[in-house]
Amino acid sequence: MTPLTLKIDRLGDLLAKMAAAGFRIVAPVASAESDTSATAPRPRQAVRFAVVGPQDYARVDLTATPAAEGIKRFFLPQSEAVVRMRQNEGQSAQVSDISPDAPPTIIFGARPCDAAALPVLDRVFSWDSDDRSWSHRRQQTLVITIACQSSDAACFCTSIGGAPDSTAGSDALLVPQDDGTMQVRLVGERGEKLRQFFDADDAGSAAPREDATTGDSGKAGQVTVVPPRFDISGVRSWIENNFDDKLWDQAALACLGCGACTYGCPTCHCFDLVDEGTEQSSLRRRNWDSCQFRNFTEHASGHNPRPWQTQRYRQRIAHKFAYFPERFGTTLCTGCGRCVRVCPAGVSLLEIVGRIAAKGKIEEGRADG
Amino acid sequence: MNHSSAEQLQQVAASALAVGSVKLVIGHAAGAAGDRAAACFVDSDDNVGRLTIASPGVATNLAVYATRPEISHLSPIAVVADPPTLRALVGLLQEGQVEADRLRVIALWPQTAEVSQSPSDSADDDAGAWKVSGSVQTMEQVLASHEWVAHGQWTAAAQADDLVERLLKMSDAERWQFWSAEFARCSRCYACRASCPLCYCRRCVAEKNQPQWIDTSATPRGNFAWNVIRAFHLAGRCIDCGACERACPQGLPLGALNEFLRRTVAEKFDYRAGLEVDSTPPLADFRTDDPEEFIR
Repeated sequence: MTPLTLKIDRLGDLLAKMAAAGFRIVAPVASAESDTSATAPRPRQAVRFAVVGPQDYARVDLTATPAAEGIKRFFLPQSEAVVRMRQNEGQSAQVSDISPDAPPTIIFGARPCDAAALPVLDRVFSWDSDDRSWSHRRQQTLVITIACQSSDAACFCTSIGGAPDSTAGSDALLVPQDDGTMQVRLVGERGEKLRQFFDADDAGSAAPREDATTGDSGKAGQVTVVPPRFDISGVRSWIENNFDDKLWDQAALACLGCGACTYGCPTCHCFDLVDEGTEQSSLRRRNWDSCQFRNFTEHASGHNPRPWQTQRYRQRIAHKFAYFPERFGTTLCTGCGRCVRVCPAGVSLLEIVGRIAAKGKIEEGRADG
Repeated sequence: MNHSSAEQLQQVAASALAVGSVKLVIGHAAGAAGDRAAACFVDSDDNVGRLTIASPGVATNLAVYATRPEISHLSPIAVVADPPTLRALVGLLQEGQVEADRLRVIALWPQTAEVSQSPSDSADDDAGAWKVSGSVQTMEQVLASHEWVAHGQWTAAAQADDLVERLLKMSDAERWQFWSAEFARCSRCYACRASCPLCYCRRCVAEKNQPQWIDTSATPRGNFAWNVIRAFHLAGRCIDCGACERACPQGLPLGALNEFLRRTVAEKFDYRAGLEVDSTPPLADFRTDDPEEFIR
């Protein structure tokens, strides 16, 4: 099959073609308000995903790695109205569902660690019932991912089974080449829908790459290397067997109990349902929620099964690396490292899971011996 | 780095832990991702080696840990404290949130007028720019020192003056538009609250839902209510450390709100937060000779 290619100076044309075909385009753009955040010592979100129109094509910035912001909110909005309630004259009330209504969308320029979260979350959102909002947005949205050309000390996708050029969760993967073009790899049936937008690679420039490309995980092009940080094999069993270990207390001491890690996380998906409005007219909204908040588990009685931050911190790690794998057969983490980067107190999941992995290794060794 | 401030800090911490005059030292260590400093808890002189002096531009305010129930069984604690951290501790003493006899500090005094706050600095690049107090001290001792007089008001918070000036020149409509765009990014992760030493309430107004004072939804209404109410609650109490702005994963310019409130409180009440344990914050005060009719 003829390989496809994208010349980066033709990006505007590509996005225009997609828009003309009826797609809403979401892409990372350099922030228009970056001058105002000059007071922030660390304007970490200078590049954000946004719905783009022709006037924004020139601002599309594919260079920011690791991505400052994920794509989760385009599938699981931070706040979404799900039910409308109205009190009529007299006694009756009118309660109506609000159907999710997402236009056909192409997310252009996601990173592999963010895209990889989508099939992981499909499992939980189609588990005991079908989450129609999630499924609808998944159906309506095609994801074009770009392989990472750089990484940092917080990146650990390769320790979780991912890769900086993984196609998991993507419908197409762009692999930057030495000559400044992008090789395009379409993934599955959904990926085929994107074929129309790309040009077949003309002879010559493609030839050397073809040799280097050996299947899906071929390392052709300028793909960064993310060194392995830990061996995940013993992590789950160590967590299952060491619920009361001192490690949890030590690890959680610095944790401030905010939700920055969970909200930045591509796989954290907990939500809360709240009713907002008046007695006459209100909306039920589904909002992101975080297991790190004290009131996350607080009962109406006032009892709280997780009153301490240690327990809340352990819950987050154990859910990702033990409970979720037990139920769904996969880790609830893609190794994006965003939780490490955003933590105000410098708490590092990477470091803590690394410690657990080392302990797990020792216990495994004992069991084998 | 020669005989560095970080090594002095480690020595002071080690000797205090060795003789048992403190049970826990709360300081900073190099962050795992090589960017943000990590909060570090040392309870034995064997492991003081992790302690370092973090660039204020990449560090949280350690006074936030002084009110944590998780460490209440360990006392006295010693907090490694630069001037903004000391001011936060003054605020906590003033408001009865920490007990003076359970609190010690290892004070850090800026040696140069401008201690670098560049985020690209590694954690101990600035170590030479700090003078470490020779021993663990009580807050009473620190507040009586000539260093406190000289450096007590020092801050590493990013200068929000330019933005505040720009905002003051805007019309109400323009200012509304500015903050609407900024607050639109707020994800309600409450990292600002969690990293603020003076936001210590066990039950925050944001969590009260009978009635619901603040919409929890990250909608314009909820986000405006949250950020403005938080700012109001910090008026005359914010000690200008910038921890909230540094914590914000969305890069909201919270320092401009704080700076505006600081100016207003200074102008109306001739007061600056975090300098005196025995003073009363203006919004917690009441005078029978108040010039305003409504308050009498």
